[in-house]
Amino acid sequence: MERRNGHPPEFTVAEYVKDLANRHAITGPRYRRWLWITGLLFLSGVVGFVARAAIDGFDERQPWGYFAATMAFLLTTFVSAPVVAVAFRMAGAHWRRPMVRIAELYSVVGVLVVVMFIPMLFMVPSAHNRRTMWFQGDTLGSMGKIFGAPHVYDILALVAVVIAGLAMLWFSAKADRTQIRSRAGESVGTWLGSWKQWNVLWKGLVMLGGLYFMMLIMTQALISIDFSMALVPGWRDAIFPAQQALASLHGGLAITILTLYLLRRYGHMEQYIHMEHFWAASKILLALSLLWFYFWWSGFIVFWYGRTPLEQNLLDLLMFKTYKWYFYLAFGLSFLAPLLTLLWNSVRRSTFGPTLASVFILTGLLFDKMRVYVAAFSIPNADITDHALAVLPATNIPDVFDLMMVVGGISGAVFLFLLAARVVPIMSIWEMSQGIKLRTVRRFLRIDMIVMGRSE
Amino acid sequence: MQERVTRTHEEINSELLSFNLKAPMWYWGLVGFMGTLALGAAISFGIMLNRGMGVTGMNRPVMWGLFLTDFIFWIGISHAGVMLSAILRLSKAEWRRPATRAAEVLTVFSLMVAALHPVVHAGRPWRVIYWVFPYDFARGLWVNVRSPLVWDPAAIFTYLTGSTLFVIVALIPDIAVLRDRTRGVRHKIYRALALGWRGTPRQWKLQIVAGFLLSALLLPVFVSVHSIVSWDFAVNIGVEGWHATIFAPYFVIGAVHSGVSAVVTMMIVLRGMFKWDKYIRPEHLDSLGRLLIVIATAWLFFFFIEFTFALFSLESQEIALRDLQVFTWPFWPLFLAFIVLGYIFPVSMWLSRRVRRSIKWMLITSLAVNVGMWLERFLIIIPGLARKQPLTFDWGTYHPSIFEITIVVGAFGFVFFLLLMFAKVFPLIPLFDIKEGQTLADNIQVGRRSVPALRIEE
Repeated sequence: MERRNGHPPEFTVAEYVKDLANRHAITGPRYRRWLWITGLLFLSGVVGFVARAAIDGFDERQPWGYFAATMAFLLTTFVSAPVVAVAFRMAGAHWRRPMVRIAELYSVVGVLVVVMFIPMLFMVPSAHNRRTMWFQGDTLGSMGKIFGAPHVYDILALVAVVIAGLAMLWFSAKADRTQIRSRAGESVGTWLGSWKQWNVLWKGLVMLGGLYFMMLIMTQALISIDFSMALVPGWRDAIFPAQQALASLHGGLAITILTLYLLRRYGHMEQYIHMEHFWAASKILLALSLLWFYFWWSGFIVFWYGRTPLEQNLLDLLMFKTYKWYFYLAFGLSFLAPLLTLLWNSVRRSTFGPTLASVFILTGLLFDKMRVYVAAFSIPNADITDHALAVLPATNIPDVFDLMMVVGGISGAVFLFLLAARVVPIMSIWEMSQGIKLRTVRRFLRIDMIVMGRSE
Repeated sequence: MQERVTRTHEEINSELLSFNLKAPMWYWGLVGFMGTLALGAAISFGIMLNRGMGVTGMNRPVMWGLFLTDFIFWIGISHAGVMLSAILRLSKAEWRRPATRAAEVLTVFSLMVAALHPVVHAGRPWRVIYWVFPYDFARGLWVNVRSPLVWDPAAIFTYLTGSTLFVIVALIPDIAVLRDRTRGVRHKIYRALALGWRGTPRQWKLQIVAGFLLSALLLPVFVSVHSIVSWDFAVNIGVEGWHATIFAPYFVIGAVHSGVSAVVTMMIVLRGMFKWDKYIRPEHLDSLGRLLIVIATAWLFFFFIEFTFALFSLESQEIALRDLQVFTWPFWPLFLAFIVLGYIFPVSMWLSRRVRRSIKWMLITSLAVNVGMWLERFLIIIPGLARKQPLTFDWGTYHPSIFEITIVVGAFGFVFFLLLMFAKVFPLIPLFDIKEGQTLADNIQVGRRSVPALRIEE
């Protein structure tokens, strides 16, 4: 199909389905190569974890700061990616279609995050007799002993998020897997594509999406508070959980845009992934970067302005002394670099510009997690019940095992994604087909205009 | 469900301009009533100037009372304009069209009234001018620029200027239509205000670009205004319940919540007053209701965090404050009313599509939200100050006087008075916006179904 007046070429639903089914059936050498690379790096991460456990054990938290930061990074980026599908599907954004399945596929990384979270449960003491959001203690105005706080509830919340994400993926992919199987001559199962089944599918996605979104926000808040803020004496920052929730939206969108670019460039999907998708997503990315700064500033100015020693010590720990380089990198890469990149319309109206900004953001998020979790984990157990942070701990520089765990964790996430992409088509067949049917190009006055149907 | 109503351009002009060209008698009665409320506020203010601040209920330690509560409330209402007009314009939501001008105008007038409150509260308002326009005639005294109280007027006047420009730029094409339909003095006035508008392609292009630019530029201002107002409280380390990092986004989201609800109320009232049921349809209220569910839930998240972290440190003073807010008379019924009216009742109603499309229930729920949000601001300010002092014998109470109540009620009257005056002179639904929406509307055939569609320019 040819282009009309600069608009992307049109193709029929049948052409699209045939093309995607063929792509799903074969794997190229590049795919296999990257599967091996990420698999081996993931194994090296496992080796680093075992070595760390053998040398340092789980009694002290300090050696595990980078491990915790990696887990938090994966939770904030890969596991949060499905929120892109949820949010843009609910908003009815027509440009979401090529990226929703990519976002949903990242929910499989949740399995890795749950596995990584289990050893962390042994590193944090119970909430009894210390300042946490569970409010329990013998002399601290106890509200009664809450069994298993915070460990039981944090792991339950995390598992709930992962299950919600996987359920959304399974639901969304049901129709597509049937299409793929029917084309391969296999049994199609119970999916017939009736009006009732489509209705149930859509409503199920909406409900699962809402549940996933709320669970994600709650889980981010719980884990970030219990595994970082509550471990630093005197750290009471109400905006911190909201900041972590925002970071998950930021990271989820960034990883989706990066994957979209790689798919277009190396998966040769230029006819389905256009500049308009990057352009639309880049505006949201810019807004989220600005919001990142806004949340950070709101927290900083309240702490800085009052000049209380407690809050000044916290600022020194997290921003200006102990972990200042992590903070500078996080600030520069999460806010300044994306802002300076995405400020220009010509950059936003490209495929590379938003991708570059996404890379900045993902790197910035990694340093931000290191700043928070390594700092929090460096406080000894004996000190976490103090009223205020009196002595700044020394900076924890990563060693080779820490680097192996960080690289291994990220590679493991990519490895799982690549495996999942063999099971579920990487682009949603039914969503894209819907988009094709709802879009056309018509002559209006003297120009050709896109006409988009709004079925809601 | 989209319920398109197609009108010709002449029908749109005559239906939306009929009130501007000839107002019914009930209009003048309503203007008189609102004007009387505003006059009552002015008289109370005059008495306050004459006799001093002692006529109010403010006394140590509660030095901020209804005036500051109302100040924050009206700043909150002013966030409606940018939310509905700017953000929905940038995201190209079609259902914004009937609501944008009403929201923008509500923003301007509520900002003006909000800016009056610190002047009223100051006691000696002629001194406030020094705050806003600092001058130093050899006294060696400058305002403390490190104080958020000094950032406030800068932010508010920037927002007011930007919002006023936003209203004016969007009004020009409609003023030109009025110019072409009036004679005599009115024609001369509209001709001057139309700034030479002829509807040429270049003028339309500039008008649209200006609208987009102002929308984008107003967004950071809109966030900064209420954030700076929140820092009046949050940077203060001396008052329990105020020193929280969440205050800035908490105030902003609360402002959007109350502002959008206020626009819903206003749209329903306009629909009834001017018989605009073809333009303000249940589908618009449905979309606004869905938006409000998201905003209200985000607000609840921030409220929950703010409350939880207040108790996080388990300090006795903070616990005493929360005990006062939640369990002690006379605040506990206000707290209950705030939670029920601000979230539980309206959101549970909005979950039903039938309610979102019902004019009566949307009016009730939107009014409930604004009562709840007014109470929220009251509960932030007064209990915190009442428990400010570390020694319990220094704890205080607050009983607003009739003068304060009159001024607060008069502020509402003044805003509605200004809105009614505006509605008489300019159309409250943008004509060109409605016509543009109709022009861009189309249909796509998908199978046996005709799906409403939109022409998009890329």
